[in-house]
Amino acid sequence: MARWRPYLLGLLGVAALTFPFLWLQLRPNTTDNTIQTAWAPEHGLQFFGDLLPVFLAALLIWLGVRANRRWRLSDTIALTAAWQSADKTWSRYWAWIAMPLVLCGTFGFGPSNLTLMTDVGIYMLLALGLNITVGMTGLLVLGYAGFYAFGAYFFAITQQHAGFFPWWIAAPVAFPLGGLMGYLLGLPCLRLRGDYLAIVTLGFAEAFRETISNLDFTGGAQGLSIEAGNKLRGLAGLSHQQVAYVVVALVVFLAVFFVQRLYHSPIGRAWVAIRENEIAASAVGVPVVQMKLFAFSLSAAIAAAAGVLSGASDGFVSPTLCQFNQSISILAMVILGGLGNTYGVLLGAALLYLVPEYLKRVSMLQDSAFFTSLPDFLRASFLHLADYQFLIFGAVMVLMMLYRPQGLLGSTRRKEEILHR
Amino acid sequence: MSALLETRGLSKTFGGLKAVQNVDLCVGANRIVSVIGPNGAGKTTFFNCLSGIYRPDGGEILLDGENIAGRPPHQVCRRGMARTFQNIRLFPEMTVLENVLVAQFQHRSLSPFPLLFRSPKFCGSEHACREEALGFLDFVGLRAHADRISSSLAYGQQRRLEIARALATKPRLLLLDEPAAGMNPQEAIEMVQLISRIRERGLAILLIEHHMKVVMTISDEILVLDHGVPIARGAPQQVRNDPQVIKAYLGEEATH
Repeated sequence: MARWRPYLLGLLGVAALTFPFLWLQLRPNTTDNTIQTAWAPEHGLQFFGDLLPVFLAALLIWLGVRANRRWRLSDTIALTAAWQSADKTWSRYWAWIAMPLVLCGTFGFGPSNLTLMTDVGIYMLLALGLNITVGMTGLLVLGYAGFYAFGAYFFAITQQHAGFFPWWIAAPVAFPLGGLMGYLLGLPCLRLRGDYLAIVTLGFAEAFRETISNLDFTGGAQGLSIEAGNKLRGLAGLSHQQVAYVVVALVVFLAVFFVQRLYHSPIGRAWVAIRENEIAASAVGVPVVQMKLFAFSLSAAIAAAAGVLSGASDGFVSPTLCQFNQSISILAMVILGGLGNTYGVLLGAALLYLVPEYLKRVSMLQDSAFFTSLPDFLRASFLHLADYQFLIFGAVMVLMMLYRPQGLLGSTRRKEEILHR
Repeated sequence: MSALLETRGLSKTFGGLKAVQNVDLCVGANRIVSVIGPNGAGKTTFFNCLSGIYRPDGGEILLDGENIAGRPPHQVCRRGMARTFQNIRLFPEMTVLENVLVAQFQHRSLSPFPLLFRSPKFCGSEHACREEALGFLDFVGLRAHADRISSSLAYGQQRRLEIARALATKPRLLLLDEPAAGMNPQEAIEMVQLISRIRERGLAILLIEHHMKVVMTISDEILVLDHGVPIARGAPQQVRNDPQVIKAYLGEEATH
């Protein structure tokens, strides 16, 4: 019983706090102009009915965690263990299995799924880039989307004035420019110890967003559209969605390839050393400030290139690209997937982008056989699932912090490091 | 005898506390010099100034005649001075081998193309570094533990790993900050043997140690600090009988 007391108390607290909103209703009385409070339980019942699948999902996750602890499933599957070490032979060949599968998707997905997967690819790029700074080097960045928007706007503005400035020229140009931007921004704050970078990048992203939503040549809040000639276009019998998908997929593979090579090189080891003990790293000859600057510039450069790709596939750019939410969700992808684990953050990006999208799509299935066979109350609650995405997301994050602080594919070593810091 | 390391009037203050005052020290090539003194005498602060972790307020640090005072730690390391820490500072999540590999950073070529495309030359150097790192682990007796996570090592092993890591930077002068701290007599003897073997490799060693047996056995010269001030220096026998040193360690005799 004592075990459950905090949970029960928490539930009671939530019930007390939500009581006026869920169970009461204000009814204006037109005859004497007063407002009466009336007992209206249907709201509350509706709310808890909607939440039923969430509870069920939580129960499932809980059982899963128990089972995992009992039978060590995650160690048996051991995706992490094999992928993390550069020496395991089969892990060298993953690309030859994954690449054809992913490229088959070009023909396997319908247009709307292709667009979705292209977006997933762009988020994977962003997560890969942010992982270099946050996961490998251990620096917190809170305004990563600023560099993403920087790349996108650089592309949009230049192509408006230059006329011919297609994405395949813009992306290689935006890459070093983004890197330069990161370098300049990192220069003053990376020379200091502590999390100054987090605040400075946060400020940068917000200032950038305010600026682009208030200037004329950036199109204000509406943003800018990208001319058809400069976008990703249909080519050789492929639709433009298919081309965008292939291009983004190839860029993701390229990025994974190079990031992994850097990670398993003296540079990657220096990054990890800085994360683990900055003073010791500098004492064994690692130029800490330079390596941090390099990591951060590379992150910024990848974000800028991803920004160009996003503009080229969507055909427009807008200030929503660098909302605070955006930065945080990229950070959440990195943390959920596993700080410092390249494959983990890819998984994190896919999950965090796809799950809410598919939750939204659940409501489109209401006439399907599966749904009509469900009892009414369950059906209604499944249809409302998307409304609760942030609630579910929050709960998942809390569970992650409790049971897997190292992320889905993070190593158990990393967990020890976090817990014993 | 030419001095490898020489400090002239080295000083460091924290607010009103004069942690290190006017320390002159000379370490010749391939010599073992110890710095001793009661707790809080400023020994570790002195080391931190030497290795660039603190910026000294005054004085010069000459390494092979070049003043390195105020240079950041990695540049000091690059010039041939490596150190270990009193409170062990390993990279806890990395394996034992990786800990040593990190320390080879300054000897590695970082040209992007060979590195990104794994040219034969890069692979060759990666392989050679691995072998060399294993050699250092062998030297300190940790080769069998190369693939273990460094934080899972026993305390004495972690100390030896720190030494292997410092050696991997290929220094000419090694600063050891209490390498035998917390060790039992047997382990302390092994540490003495290890330090002598390091010296046989041609390195000079500057040592902070509380273990008097260790200090007296291996030092060529001893510097005694008290409240940041050098109070005695000389050969072990000489220092052992110095009245000021005895006073600093045991307190003043009652004079009535």
